[in-house]
Amino acid sequence: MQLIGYFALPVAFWFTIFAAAAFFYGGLKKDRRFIVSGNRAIYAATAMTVLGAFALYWALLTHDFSIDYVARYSDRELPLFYLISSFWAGHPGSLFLWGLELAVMVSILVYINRNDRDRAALPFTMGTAALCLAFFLFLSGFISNPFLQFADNFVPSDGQGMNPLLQDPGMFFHPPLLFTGYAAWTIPFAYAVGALIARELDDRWIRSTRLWAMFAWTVLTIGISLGAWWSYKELGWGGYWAWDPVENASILPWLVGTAYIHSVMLQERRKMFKIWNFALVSLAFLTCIFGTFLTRSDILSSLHTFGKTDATKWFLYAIAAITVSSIGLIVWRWPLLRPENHLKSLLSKEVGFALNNLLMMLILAVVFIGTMFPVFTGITHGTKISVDIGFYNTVIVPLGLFMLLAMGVGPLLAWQRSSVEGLKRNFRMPVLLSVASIPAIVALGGHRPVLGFITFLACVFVTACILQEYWRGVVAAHRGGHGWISGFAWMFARNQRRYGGYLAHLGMVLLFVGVAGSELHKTEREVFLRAGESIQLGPYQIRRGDIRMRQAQNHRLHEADLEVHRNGRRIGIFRPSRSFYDNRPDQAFSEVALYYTLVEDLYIIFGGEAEQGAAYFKIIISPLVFWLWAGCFLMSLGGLLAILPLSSRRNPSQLASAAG
Amino acid sequence: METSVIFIALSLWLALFVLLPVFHERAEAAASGERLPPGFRAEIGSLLAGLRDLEYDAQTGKLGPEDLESMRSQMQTRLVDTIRWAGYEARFLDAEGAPLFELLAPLEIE
Repeated sequence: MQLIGYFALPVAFWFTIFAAAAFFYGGLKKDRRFIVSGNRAIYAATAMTVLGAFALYWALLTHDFSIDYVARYSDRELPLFYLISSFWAGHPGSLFLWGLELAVMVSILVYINRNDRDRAALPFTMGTAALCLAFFLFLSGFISNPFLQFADNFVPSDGQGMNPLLQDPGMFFHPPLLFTGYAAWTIPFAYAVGALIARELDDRWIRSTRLWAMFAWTVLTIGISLGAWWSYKELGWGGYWAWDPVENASILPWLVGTAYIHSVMLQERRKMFKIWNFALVSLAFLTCIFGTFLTRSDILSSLHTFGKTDATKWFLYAIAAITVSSIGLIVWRWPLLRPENHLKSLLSKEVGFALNNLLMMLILAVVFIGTMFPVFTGITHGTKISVDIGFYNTVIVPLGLFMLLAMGVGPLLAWQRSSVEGLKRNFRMPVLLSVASIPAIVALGGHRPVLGFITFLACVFVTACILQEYWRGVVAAHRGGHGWISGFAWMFARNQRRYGGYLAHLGMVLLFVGVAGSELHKTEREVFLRAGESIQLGPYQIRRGDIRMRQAQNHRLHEADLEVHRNGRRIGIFRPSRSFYDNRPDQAFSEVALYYTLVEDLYIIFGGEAEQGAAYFKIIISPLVFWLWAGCFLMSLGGLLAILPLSSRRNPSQLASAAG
Repeated sequence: METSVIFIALSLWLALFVLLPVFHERAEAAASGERLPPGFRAEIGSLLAGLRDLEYDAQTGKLGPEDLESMRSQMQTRLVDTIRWAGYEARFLDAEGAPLFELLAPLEIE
């Protein structure tokens, strides 16, 4: 199977190169024979890539340690769950996963367009997608082939095993979802390039990308959220987002994607922002490649990187090629991309969307500059200087608050021009509710610091705006003869994108609540406790019990018993621990003890035993963290509801009319 | 050894599967009675309308005979390309590859 895997990827690469050539030739010569041949070449390449994936799984599951990758990232003791995720634990495997997912998506793209003879842009779209796939298959087949064997037929008796930090359920879901999101952004990019080449510059390409873009955004949202959750419960530092370079790299395409899924509505409804949309979709794909590059280079130090690899320079070439070709194509077609309408009023939905895009781009610029700051200072001063979390908090928090408010205001504005009467009518209830909520915020202690107070108040305002929109939709459905519940379902199905989007906005509000609560009201204490000693922190009383060493499947656990009471009521025994994995016996990996409630999380880290029987613990009470995860869930759900085929009546013209 | 042979055979079969359409005659993709795609109808319709406008311009003296011939030739080439591209050559082109205007006429946009 090793040989099959080794050769399947180069064979897939050549099929993809043929497909790209056939699509472009067929598109230029208008010869469908080549398009049909290109379609088949994509299916063949995908079949070969899937065969390669089967071969790698076969090698991992049968412990074929003659393969360097298998020996490096798995061992005989690794539980099956992690054996499956070891596929993408290293650089060659994760790159292969990117390519595998992209191959499947390009096949879907080809399949859904196989009978479409109307659009001259499609061959160029599929050719571009094939070229992107070819890039990944080139890397997996020739530069970082995961099937390479050790020299001189060496076969180790056991593998080195997976990095213990990766032995977490998060590893099973987080990387594949991120790569799915990255791969999915390839398709809108390909549609944009196809449209530019073929001069098909109306909004058909936008409609074609809508589903892919929403899918990519939703999957990235889920992937990033799971990454944050993994970091929170696994890394033992009490946080969920550290502004680590690779974390930042994952959020760049999300920010651009968020801007794109809003700005496309301007083109659909008002034929504006045409150039901007092409630029955004190119930037979204570019940031995906940039993020993948960052994890495969040594230009920045991060927990997540694989260090410099053979593929690093090829990613730089790809970034340069995408940048030059995107700019070149847009400049080439610039005269044909003039907006057909112009802004009529500053109080309009158009301005709301433009403001959304501006804020997203500002946040993107801040994250990019912060991430690359060590590289810039390395070039200018010869020393890499990193920015700390304070930089991001100082700059992004105000921008984030503006964005939050824009989420409330934007949906209530009218297209073209909002009348003063209309604004009064739309904003009366949200403003009144916000004012009425002030005593409640103060009573719950949310008025300090001022930043927290502003955040909570803005959250109430935006929630009221969104709920008012839902309410109006349901009332309209009710007047049309629907019941209240069936009216809600009818309203949702009639315009999934709008109401799914509002749900995502509501999720973002909850996320702000969680971040404000946990960052501004966190209580933290570091203590040494002997057996029988206890500590009171907030409503929690924590009493230390025994400490023991226990053997698990592939690691030893050094764990402490802690009896926890909340306001005098016994919650139970908590066991924070430190794991010593068989493949890293000298290194301790913290396993935190967590107690979730709707109000706060109790987070306990065990730091090991000190002298005279005392043991070190770090105890954190993080308020409202639950709402952060609930917000991530709602955002993901909103994205899913926007794209799932809930209504059988949907067709392209209805979709177009439903925009915004 | 056996798996290698199967792999090579599979690769060759896939290569054949991929290349076969290229060596076929241009596929007659659309049966004569098939409903025409809207994009194709629109494209052909606008080209036919353009051809008629040319004749009108020539009749009203806005276009000289040489310009008329050159522009008509360009537009006719686009018309033939569009028909070939969509795979309707047997339906809308004659044996010499010239457009069958009498069959195309219903598609013209007034």
